Amino acid sequence: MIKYVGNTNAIINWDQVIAGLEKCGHETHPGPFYGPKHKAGDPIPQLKEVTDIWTDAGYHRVEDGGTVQWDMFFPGTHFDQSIVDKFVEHYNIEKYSSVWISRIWPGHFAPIHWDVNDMEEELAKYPDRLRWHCHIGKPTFGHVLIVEDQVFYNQQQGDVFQWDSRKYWHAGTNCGLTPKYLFNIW
Amino acid sequence: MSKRKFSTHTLIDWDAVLKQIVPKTGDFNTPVTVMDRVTDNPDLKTTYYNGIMDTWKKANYDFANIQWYDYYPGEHFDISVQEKFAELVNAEPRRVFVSEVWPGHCVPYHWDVEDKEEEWLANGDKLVRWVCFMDKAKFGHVFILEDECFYNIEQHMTYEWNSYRDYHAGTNAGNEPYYLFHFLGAEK
Repeated sequence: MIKYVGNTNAIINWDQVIAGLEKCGHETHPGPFYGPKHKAGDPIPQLKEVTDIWTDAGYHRVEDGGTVQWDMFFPGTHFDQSIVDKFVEHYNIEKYSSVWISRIWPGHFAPIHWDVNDMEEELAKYPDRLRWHCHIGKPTFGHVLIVEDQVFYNQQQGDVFQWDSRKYWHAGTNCGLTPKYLFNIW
Repeated sequence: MSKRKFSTHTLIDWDAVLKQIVPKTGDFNTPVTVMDRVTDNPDLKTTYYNGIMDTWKKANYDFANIQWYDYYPGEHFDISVQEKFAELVNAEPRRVFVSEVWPGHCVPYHWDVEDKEEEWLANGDKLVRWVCFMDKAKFGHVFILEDECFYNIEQHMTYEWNSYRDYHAGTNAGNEPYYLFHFLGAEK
């Protein structure tokens, strides 16, 4: 289940965060990391579940002439850790393993997947780990997030949703005209 | 925003239509093929098509990956479907087609420029447009019409557009091709 848990606009200025991310890769600001981090054949448990689907469906990475790519920004490197601190305090999140902001450019895809992690064997000890996402951009044509059987579209800036499992199948895509940003934590 | 809606359940056998469509054999569309086809109507090219292409260029779309197939009644599937649908929505068909978008592709923000629009309007047509979710709901299949996003829509559900010129987009982040039935017609 995925449930709406509130809005963060009163505690975080997301426009300011995005403005900071737009500088990444310019002058002295470090550039984003690119996803997907893993590829078919990497020795990570359960990764094959995802890569087999992509291969069979004919997906290709941008570097290979396809459309699969997203940018990833991390606290402390690309945006201030205080953003994360405010978020976890507001939602009483005691432990988290991973936090990042994703950016999908027009025409690019994060196709059907769940976030297989390098530490999947260790994480298997905590099967009830939750996940949250926050729509940090303003509602914009073409900005789509799919989680299981739900679509998130035209959500208000700052809206936060809690997932009952970090392993939910999801996808992000952008058929609009401007980049789509999403804050993710689990 | 869509207006009226209804279901074609028990009225049209869309699974049978889908069986007639041979994947990747319809009219192949990319921005390049679309622009090539309008050479006989340079006014439309300069007024409308260039505008849409410019917005895509400014958004840095890779034109090679904007691609979809169109299938036409009487050519790729039985024309009786068009006739039945026209009867259901009480309109004369003007342009009817099935679109097919493959995983990892999208047809970005646009409206459908029609080569014969002026002619139809001059003849007094009141143009109406409908979309029908002809296939079963599948992960990653998304259709956007102005500010409305259609996802997990039950097979057979059919929606009338507010205006045939509404901006829309289709995208597929799943693992199977995405089919939609489109009907542009003149209200009777």
